[in-house]
Amino acid sequence: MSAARGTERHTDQAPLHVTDLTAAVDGADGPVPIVRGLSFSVGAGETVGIVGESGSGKSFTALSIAGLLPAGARVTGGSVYVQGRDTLTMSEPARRRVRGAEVGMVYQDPMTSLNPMMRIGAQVAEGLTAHGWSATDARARTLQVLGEVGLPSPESLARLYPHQLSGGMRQRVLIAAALAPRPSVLIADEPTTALDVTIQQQILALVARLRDEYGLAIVWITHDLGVVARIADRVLVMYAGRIVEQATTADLFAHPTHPYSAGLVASIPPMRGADRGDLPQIGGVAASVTALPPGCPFAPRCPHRQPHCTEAEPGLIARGASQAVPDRSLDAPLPRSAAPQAPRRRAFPAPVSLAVPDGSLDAPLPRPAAPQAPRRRAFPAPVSLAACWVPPEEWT
Amino acid sequence: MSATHGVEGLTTHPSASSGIGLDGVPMVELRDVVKHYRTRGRGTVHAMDAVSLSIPAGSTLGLVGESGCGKSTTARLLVQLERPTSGSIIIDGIDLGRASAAERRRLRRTIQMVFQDPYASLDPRVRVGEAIAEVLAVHRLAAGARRRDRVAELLDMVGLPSSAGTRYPHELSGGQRQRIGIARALAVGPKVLVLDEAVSALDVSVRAEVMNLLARLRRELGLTYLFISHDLGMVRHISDRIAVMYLGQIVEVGPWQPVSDVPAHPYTVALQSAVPVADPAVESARPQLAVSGEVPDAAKPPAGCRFHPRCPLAEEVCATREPSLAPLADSGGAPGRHLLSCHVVQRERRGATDLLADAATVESP
Repeated sequence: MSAARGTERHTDQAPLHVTDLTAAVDGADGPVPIVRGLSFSVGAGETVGIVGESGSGKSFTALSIAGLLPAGARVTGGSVYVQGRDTLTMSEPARRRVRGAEVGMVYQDPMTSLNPMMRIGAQVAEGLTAHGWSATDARARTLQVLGEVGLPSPESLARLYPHQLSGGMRQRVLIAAALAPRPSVLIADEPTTALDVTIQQQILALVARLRDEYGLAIVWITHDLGVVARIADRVLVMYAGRIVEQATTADLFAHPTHPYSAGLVASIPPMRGADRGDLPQIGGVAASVTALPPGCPFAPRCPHRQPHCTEAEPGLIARGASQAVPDRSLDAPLPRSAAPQAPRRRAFPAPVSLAVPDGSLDAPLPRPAAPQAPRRRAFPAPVSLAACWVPPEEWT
Repeated sequence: MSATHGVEGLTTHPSASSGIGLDGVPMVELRDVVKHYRTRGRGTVHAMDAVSLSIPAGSTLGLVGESGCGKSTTARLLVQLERPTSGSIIIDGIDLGRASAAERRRLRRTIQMVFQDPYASLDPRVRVGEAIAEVLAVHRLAAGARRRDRVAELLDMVGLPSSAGTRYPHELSGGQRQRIGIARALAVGPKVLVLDEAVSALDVSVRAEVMNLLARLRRELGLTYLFISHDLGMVRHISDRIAVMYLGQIVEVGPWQPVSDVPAHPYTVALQSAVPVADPAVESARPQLAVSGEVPDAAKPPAGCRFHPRCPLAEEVCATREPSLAPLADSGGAPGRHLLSCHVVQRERRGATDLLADAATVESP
């Protein structure tokens, strides 16, 4: 990372803009890359879902953005722009200020993220006074934000301790604490996984409402494709530390353009129809970042593998024109792929964009169109991008 | 509670007939089972109240509900980890409450449990092959070379090579560990598997593999399953019948497709609409019925219908009179097979899916 880039102010309007982010953990034989060149933007009022299975690097991505990586792990390259400023190159006090005030984070387990010895109100207010709010302002804002997350009678609730609340209420408190300083970015790492489904539904609806009210840019990390279908405008699918597909939510489910995403979507039992045969399986074992196979990391499991797939790792390639229309008929056959009629090339099409592994950091980085309108599904729909050499129309 | 529950207006009292089950001999039967826990401070927790269920041999009953609904208590009673406060549990024709010690021991082999977290149920220092052999040793089922052969056979049954037996749990993937958990359950030659959130902790791609394995084992070994999950999609995929529990009671039970796709009880509708579906077309098309509030404390269940404080269809009667589990009035030629407990649905003779769709039409301009 060059020091000069720290002062650079990105003109991109997106509250969160990540370019070529890499992170590694210390292993016995040196650092192991766990996040390998991630680039994406999240616009105001937009929710981007990051899905992946254990070991895909999705949680490390969240922790890298929030600057909360555990000991032994660190960001090794790239930039995380929050409101146009690169948080990775700024001074530590400045970084802490930006992260506390501009980036809120919500985790899976509301019990372990709250101090059991501290009253609810004091915990929420503490985050504000730490960022320079006066005690009076912090108190007023705390009561206001507790009300905004749908908690009844904030004044009396603020005097309770965490154990006196249910799991769903504790998660609301955490959301309130994250949103109290009015951040522009919210990172949510599986915040509803431990909750019952009717409570999860309430939290998802709450977050969608707050996203619109605050114009929040939300990164929602989950292993649950159902949650993604409900809440995300766009989805990033991660595999072996990289984004392997980036698409609008509608496109990802209707015509996935990476064989791994296609396998994930197909393996979920449908909620309609009478057919209950065997579920399609992906087979094989997930690639480990400690022992990546040559070429495409998914190639050993891929049903559409071609000989050249093991020669070089593909970057993200534009696939398919977006039809981000949510009102697709339920019974219409799913289009396999609505690929643009770009000249087809047998092998090694030039990666168009974001995650070029060996791209020079000093070259201007191409950026995805920055969505701007603070409303759901109002973004210009980009085409799907897939890190796969084989276009869907050539799948076997 | 149990004295009044399930009597009124009921031609097929659950405890009096096999009206709840499919035709065929029940392999597992619960009759008016009550399980209360006395606690210090909280009072009596009503984990199960007058629960009657029947699982015909070779079929799968899916059991859904949220935390505290009593589904895990049901599992624990079936595998004799606990005893019911009252009511009877009949497994393979034998009443647990009246069984001799020898019979109860035999029933422990008849019905086996597969847990959610295979990692927590395996000793990290024991090779997984030995963990399977241990089960055979405890039940004195095979010794010496025969035991080794049986371990290899069990590994093969769950789709693992016999070389997998020499591995330690941490050397296996989550899916492989769950296969070991299933092999251990199968080691004693059970007729029934209680699968308590058995695929919930697995990654999406692995879940499909284990679901397919369970379907194959059921087919090949003629097993009976109680499939407990909060995941309505998985329950829908594997079950012949589905039972829905709320605060210790069955609120709806019937054939898988009506219960899952056009539920008749308002709670099942709420549950169905709460579960996010991995299909944006379904997500944006279906009405969102969001129930307010949270599940009440099982130590102080609400009077009348236990769901009434959160129910969009609730009326005065619901707060005072407890509904009983009765056949859906219009269950199309199969009376007695689709049961639910709801005053409003029974009076209107229409399922909650219909009633709530009507309400939504009236409200919207």
